[in-house]
Amino acid sequence: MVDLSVNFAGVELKSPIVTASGTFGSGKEYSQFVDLNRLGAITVKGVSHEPWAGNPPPRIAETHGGMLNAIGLQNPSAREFIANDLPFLKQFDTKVIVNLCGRTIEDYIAVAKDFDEAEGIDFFELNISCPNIKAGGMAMGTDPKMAEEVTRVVKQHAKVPVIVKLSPNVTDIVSIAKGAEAGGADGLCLINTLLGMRIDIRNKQPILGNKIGGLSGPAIKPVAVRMVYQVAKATNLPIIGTGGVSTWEDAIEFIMAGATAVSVGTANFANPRATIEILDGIISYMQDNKIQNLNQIRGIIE
Amino acid sequence: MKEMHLIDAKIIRNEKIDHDIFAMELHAPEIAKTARAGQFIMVYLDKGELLLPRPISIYDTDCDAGTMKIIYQVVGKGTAVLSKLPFAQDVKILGALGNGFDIEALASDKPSHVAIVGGGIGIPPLYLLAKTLAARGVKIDVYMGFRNAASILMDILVNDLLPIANKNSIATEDGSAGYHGYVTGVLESQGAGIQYDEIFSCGPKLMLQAVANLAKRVNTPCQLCMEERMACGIGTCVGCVVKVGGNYVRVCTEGPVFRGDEVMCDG
Repeated sequence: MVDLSVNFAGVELKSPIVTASGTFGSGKEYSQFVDLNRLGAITVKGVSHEPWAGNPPPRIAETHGGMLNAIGLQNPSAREFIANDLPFLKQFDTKVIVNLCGRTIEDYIAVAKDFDEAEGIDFFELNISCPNIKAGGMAMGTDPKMAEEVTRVVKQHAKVPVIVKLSPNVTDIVSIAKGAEAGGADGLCLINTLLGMRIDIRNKQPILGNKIGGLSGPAIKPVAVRMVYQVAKATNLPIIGTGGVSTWEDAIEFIMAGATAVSVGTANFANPRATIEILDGIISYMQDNKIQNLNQIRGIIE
Repeated sequence: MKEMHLIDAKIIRNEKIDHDIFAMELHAPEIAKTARAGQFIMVYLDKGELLLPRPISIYDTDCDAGTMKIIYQVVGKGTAVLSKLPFAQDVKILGALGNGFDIEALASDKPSHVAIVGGGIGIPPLYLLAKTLAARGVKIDVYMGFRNAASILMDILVNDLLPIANKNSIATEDGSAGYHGYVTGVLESQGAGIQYDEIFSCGPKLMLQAVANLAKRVNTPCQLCMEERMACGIGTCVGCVVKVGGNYVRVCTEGPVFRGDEVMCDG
């Protein structure tokens, strides 16, 4: 038997496969196709302190080997999540990562505190790709100082380890990763979606109601592997690698680049059983190559 | 939670029935057994660069044979791939999804009389509805709109609906068959004086808006089957929204059928 467990920021995940925020709901829908007990963790859809209405439709546009989305983080608030979704997740023997979003530092503090009494959550994941409305709409994740500050304040109010999810829409992702590390992050998750756009040439209009959106899917995987590789070399934090993972080979690439765990996002839409098929593929790969623990290949790329 | 099935369904038939319209019949006993009118399936293309499954409404089911039928228009690369899938091949599908039409809204203690109003490729989900309602003894007037009379789809639908509809009315935009104008025009003229218990509709957004406005004017409840770009089809991505009562709600989960006096058809 191979040992699939990984230690992420002091918490043991039973397998390296995690779900990406916004692609798996709170696990309920997918539990009909996937044994959630086999996943290392479930990252739930982003929640905010107050309900967010989301962006006007269309919110989805397919692209070559990927998709654009501009959902606008529509969610009914952390309180609703705690009341309606968390009880379901507690039935399963997996870790729960709660993705937090906000438009100001105060928003992040408020949503973190919403979870003070909540049981059954194992990590926060900070989505710092949202526009900071107090900084001219610039995303917090595009400036090392802002990334450090938001990480620090959430850490002060968090009762669980904090993972910072990095935006790839930056010139130097390593500097942002170091900002989060300086702010006290316990781990990193990268990458979030790459900003993109599609135009309907017949109507001469953008396809998305929001005009621009985030690109995900296999099309972005090489960018994600490169960024995980660079960040893994430059920081001491454990990394959840994500971006276009749809096969077990993709997952192994991320692990060799230095990721501790790998999260599966858009692939869930293309194949609702993607997480489990990737996990089974990793097990076969480990058996075939006599790999006892993924530490043997993690970050082996010099 | 709703019962849904992710299965490999064998293609029994996949053929062109009109110049860009195809009919596919699938062996999918689990879905055929549970599917209700107005529900849809997600069809997985398994085609590398085309990532997302395609939502397609259910035209008909046969529980005894364990089969179901979809009618779809080739509108892009995904449906083009779908149209080329050969006989006997397996295709992965997920269904049945969405709420479907609310036929319990009809009174059970008296015979109902309803109008079914469809436009073009929006008509297929209304066939299973008509069949279901007819089996319950509901009197059905069907109103269908097309661009022009050169539509084989129109002939097929009229033919299929003939035995179950009380009345079949056609409108064409160019006047080449039936009423000259939009389907709401023929509903307004031929339906005048009839107090329908419910109007059921599916078609382009502008048509649905016109049906909702008309239903409101004549004080008749109506149900509209909507469409929106989807990624997951099961409620997790929150991509396929329409506005209901000022909030965005998911077409795949709270819909695709909405009450005409609640949903905004213009997004």
